[in-house]
Amino acid sequence: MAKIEVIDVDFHYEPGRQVLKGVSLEVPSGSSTSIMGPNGSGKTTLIKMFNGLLMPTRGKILVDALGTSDTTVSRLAKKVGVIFQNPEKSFFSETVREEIAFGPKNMGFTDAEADVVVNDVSTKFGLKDYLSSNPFDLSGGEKRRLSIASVLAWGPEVIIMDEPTVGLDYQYRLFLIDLTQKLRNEGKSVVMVTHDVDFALQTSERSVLLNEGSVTWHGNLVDLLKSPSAFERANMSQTFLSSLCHDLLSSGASERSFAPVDVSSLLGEA
Amino acid sequence: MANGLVVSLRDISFSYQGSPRPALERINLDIKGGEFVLVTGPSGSGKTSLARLVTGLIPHSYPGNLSGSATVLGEDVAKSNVHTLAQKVGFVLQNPENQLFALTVEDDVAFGPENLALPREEIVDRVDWSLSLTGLQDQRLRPPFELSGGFQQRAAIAGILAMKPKLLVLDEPTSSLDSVAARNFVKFLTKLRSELQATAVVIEQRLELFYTVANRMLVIKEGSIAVDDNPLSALDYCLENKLQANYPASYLFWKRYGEQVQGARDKPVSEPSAYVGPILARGRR
Repeated sequence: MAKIEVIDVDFHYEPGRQVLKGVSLEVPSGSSTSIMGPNGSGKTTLIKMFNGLLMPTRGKILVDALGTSDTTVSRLAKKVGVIFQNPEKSFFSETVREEIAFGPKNMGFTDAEADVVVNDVSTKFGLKDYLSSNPFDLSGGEKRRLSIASVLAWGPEVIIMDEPTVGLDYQYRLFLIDLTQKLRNEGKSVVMVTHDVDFALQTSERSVLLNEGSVTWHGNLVDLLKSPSAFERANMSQTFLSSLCHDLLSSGASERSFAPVDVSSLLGEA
Repeated sequence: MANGLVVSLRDISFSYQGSPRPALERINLDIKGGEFVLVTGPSGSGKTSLARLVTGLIPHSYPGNLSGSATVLGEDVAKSNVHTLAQKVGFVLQNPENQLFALTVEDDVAFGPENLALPREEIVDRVDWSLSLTGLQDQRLRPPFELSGGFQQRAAIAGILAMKPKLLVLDEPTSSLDSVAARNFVKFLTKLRSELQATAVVIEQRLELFYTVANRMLVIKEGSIAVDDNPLSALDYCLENKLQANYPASYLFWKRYGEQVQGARDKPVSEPSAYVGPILARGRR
C-alpha cells in the first residue's frame, strides 16, 4: 500500500516560467483520484514527478515516505506505474508477449515468473490470442489495453494514467471505469489525469483541480460536486452531468451514488 | 457542384494495401453545402478512413483498392490530387502534432496562406484572425512543440482556418481540449461556419457537445454507414438497436425522465435541474 505526498512543490522547466507553484496534496493508498484542470495547467508535469521522472525545483514528493529526489527511478517504478498519453508510441518489442514481459524482467522476475504474469494479465486484458502478434498490428483500443497490461504486469501499487480516454471509444471508456473499480478493490491507488469531467466523476472518489500550476481544489468528489464555484476557480466548465449531480445533492439526494458517480443507478438501471 | 452537393460518394469501398478487410464498404453519402455532419462510431470502424477519402489522402497517400466514385467540391477525388483538394478542404488530423512543423505558432499558421501565394497583408490578416479565433494570440511566438496537447490542437486548427476552406473535416477536434476550450470550440465552429459559409464534417466521441448543434449524424460500423439521420433520431436508433455510442448524459436522462418534465416531450432540455424531481421521486418509490 503506497501513498503519495506532495509537499509545497514548485517546478519550472526553464527559469522564469513556473509550471507548478506551491503544490501540496496527498494521494491516500487505495483511493481513486482525478487530477483535472485546463490545458497547460501542469497536470502532466505533476504526475511526471510521482515516479521521479522530474524533480521538484522546491519542496518534496514522498512515495511511501521515500523522497523521490533521493530514490532511484527503478525503485520508484516498482511502486508507481505511469501510463502516458499515446502510450502506443513507446512500444518497442516485436511481440505482445515480450512487451508485457519487459517490465517484470527488468524488475527482477525470473523467466518462469514473467511467464505466469504474461498469461495472467493477457487473459485479464483480452490479449491472450495476440501474444505472438506485433504490438503495432493491434487496433487502437487493443494497443491501449496492452500499454496498461504492460505496466500492471510488475504489480505497482499506484497506477497513474495520463488522459486515458483521449481518442478512444465508448467501449474502452466502460472498460476503464470497470478497471478502476477492480484496481481499487485490489487495494491499489488509481490517479487519472483527465480533462474529461464526466469520466472523472464516474471513476474518482477524490479530485484535485489545478489551474495555472496551483491547486485550486483538493478533496472528496462529493464536496466538489456541492461547490460549483470550484470549477469556476479552476477555469473549468461544468458538464450536464456535474450540474445534475450538484442539483441532486443540493436537493437532498443520498451521497452514496456520487463517489464515484453511478450513472446507471441515477437512470434507474441498477 | 451544380446540384449543390459538397460531397457525393457512390458505392465507395476501400481496402488498405495488405489488409484483408475493407476499411470502407459500399458507402453512399451526399452532403449539401452548409450542413453540419457529426460522424461517430467505435474505434476502427472506418471514421478516419472516410475523412481521408474526402480529403484525397485516400487513395493518393494511402495506397489500396478503391472502387466507386467520390466527388468533393466538384473534384473527382480519384483523378484529382491532394494539393488541389487541400486548397478547398481543411483537414485537422487526430494527432495535431503530426501537422505542426514550423519554429513558431505564427509561422505554422502562415504556411498555408503563403502557399496560396496570397498578398502579404492578406496573410497577416488571416494569421491574426485565426490566432484570435483559436485564442492563441499569447502563444504566437512559441514553438508549437513546446505547447500542451490542447494548445497544439488549437494551433493545427488555426493553420487550417487560415486557408478559409469551404469544407472542414475535423477528426476528433476536441479530444485533447479541456472543458472550457471544448465548449468554446463548438461556439467557434458555429460562428465560423456562418462566417465562411463552410460545411463541416466532424468526427467525434464527445457527442454531448455536438448533438444539439449538428443537423445530421452518421454512425459508422465496420466500414459502413449504420445510421444517417438527424442526431436525435440517430441516437434513438442506436439505443433501440443497442449500438455502441458515447450517449450524451443529457440525452440519456431525457429518454428516461423526459415525459415527466414540462417542455421536454419532443427534445432534451439543457437545464439539468429539470430532471431532479423525477430522479428523486423514483428513489423514494
